[in-house]
Amino acid sequence: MDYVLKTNDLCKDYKNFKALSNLTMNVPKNSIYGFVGKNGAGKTTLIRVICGLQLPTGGDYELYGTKNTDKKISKQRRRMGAVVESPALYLDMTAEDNLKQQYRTLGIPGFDGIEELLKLVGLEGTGKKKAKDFSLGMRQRLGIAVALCGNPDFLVLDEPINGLDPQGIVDIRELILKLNREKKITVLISSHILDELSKLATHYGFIDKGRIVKEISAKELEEACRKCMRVKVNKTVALSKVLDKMNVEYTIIDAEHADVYAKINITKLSLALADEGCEVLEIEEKDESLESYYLSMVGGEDNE
Amino acid sequence: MSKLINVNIHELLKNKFFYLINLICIGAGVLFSAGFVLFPNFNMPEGSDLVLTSENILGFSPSFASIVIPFAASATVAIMLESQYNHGTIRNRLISGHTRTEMFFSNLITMSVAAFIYFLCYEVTVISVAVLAFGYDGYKVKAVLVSLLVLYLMIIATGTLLSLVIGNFMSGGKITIVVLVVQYLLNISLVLGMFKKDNEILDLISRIFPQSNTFTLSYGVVADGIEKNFIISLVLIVILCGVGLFHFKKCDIK
Repeated sequence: MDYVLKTNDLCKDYKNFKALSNLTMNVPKNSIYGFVGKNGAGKTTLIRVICGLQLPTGGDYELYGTKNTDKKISKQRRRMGAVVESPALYLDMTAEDNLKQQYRTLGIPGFDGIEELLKLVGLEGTGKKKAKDFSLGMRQRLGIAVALCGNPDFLVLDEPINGLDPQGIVDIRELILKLNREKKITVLISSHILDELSKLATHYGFIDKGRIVKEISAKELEEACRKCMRVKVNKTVALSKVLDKMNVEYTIIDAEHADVYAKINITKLSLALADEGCEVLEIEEKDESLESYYLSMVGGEDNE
Repeated sequence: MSKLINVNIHELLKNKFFYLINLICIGAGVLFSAGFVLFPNFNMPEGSDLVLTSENILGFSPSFASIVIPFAASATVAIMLESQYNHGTIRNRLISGHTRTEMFFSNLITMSVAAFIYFLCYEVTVISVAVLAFGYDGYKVKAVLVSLLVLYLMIIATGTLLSLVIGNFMSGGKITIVVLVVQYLLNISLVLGMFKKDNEILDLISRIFPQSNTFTLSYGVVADGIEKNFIISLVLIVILCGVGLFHFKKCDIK
């Protein structure tokens, strides 16, 4: 698999605080990578480091295969666009002038494509209205348009839906999906609004206390979150034999546990297992959402 | 770096404060020239080096740029850094692949150009008013040009560059207030300069900072010689560039 971004034991220390602690993550090409963690987990710090705003105090990272210690990293950064925390805008300028400034920053001759960009983010009719008079959602979309100048193939968005109204959230979500599907842009999106992230992400990285707790694809997560019955027995070999006979889909978790993905008659299952000399110790229904999966990863309130 | 200078120049030209500051500089030019002629000995401190005569009175006004322009230059630095740090446009530059060295020097160049424009507005006004309105003919062109060059370098060192380094150290927040307070404190050396004979420390400070030479610089008759001021300004520029760049290359940007 090709990766746009790879970090290797990345560390970032501030005086007496370790913001990133041996963080290792991999962002696959063409993915929408949901970067999940609570406030203060290190999401924004990681984004600042990979954007070159801050220098790591340990470890390294690769952007398109170029290490951060390599001088060519600046060149690779031109392939990325980012909105870190709040959109970086010239508030006294119009949307068009903001994009022109970014074109100049990138050294793009002429201003071709500005109209399309404004149309793409739904700001084509803002005329002479200055960015300081924009709503939060409009600023966010303008920030994304600025990040999209120069046709980047990697977009980094830090909490892009924070503070937006429901319509704004839908607009940003559709825009991200469109960019990923139509323009094949890899997106790294950090958020703690899990429900929203679950509608977008193809891959997830769960971060807690500055380190990645788990990296998982949306498909794997879906499987992990599937509605099932978790059965605890003393012999999973016997359970496996019985479930095969019943033609039921299941996954053996460990020597005592298995997840069964079907509604089965518990009495029948117990009797069949008894015939095999296997005892049912516990049965519980499991219906995990992304939220509960996340909490199980980072330890929920206990972890505060 | 030329890309960033282009960005900065466009930002400056779009900013209404840039035009307002130019107008203030022109206004100050008229005020100082006319003021010196109309009220020659107004509020002059006792024991100062200042000796005003009808021959030299208008010759002093050009060097008063060292009072006016550092404020104007610092305000411009503050406005631009505020946009970069507080509105986050500095992030776009780093993400776009520009090095921190390029960013530091593109800022310095643009801000120095802005200071030069203010300087020009002030000086052209002062000399025009002096010559056209009051018929003053005491300017020695060569001496004036040398003095103005030294003045400008001093303004870069103590106005633009000092404010840029302070602003980068602050990385946002109330940059405008802080740099203007620093400029105000530096202007106090104007008063120190007037009494520099009384105290060795004040004497030393007054030799370093340009404001203390305000009354004599236009004539190129500074106590230590104008070359010394020229060298001090250049040394200050080199030191501040070194310190500022070292810090800016290592600092964390939010």
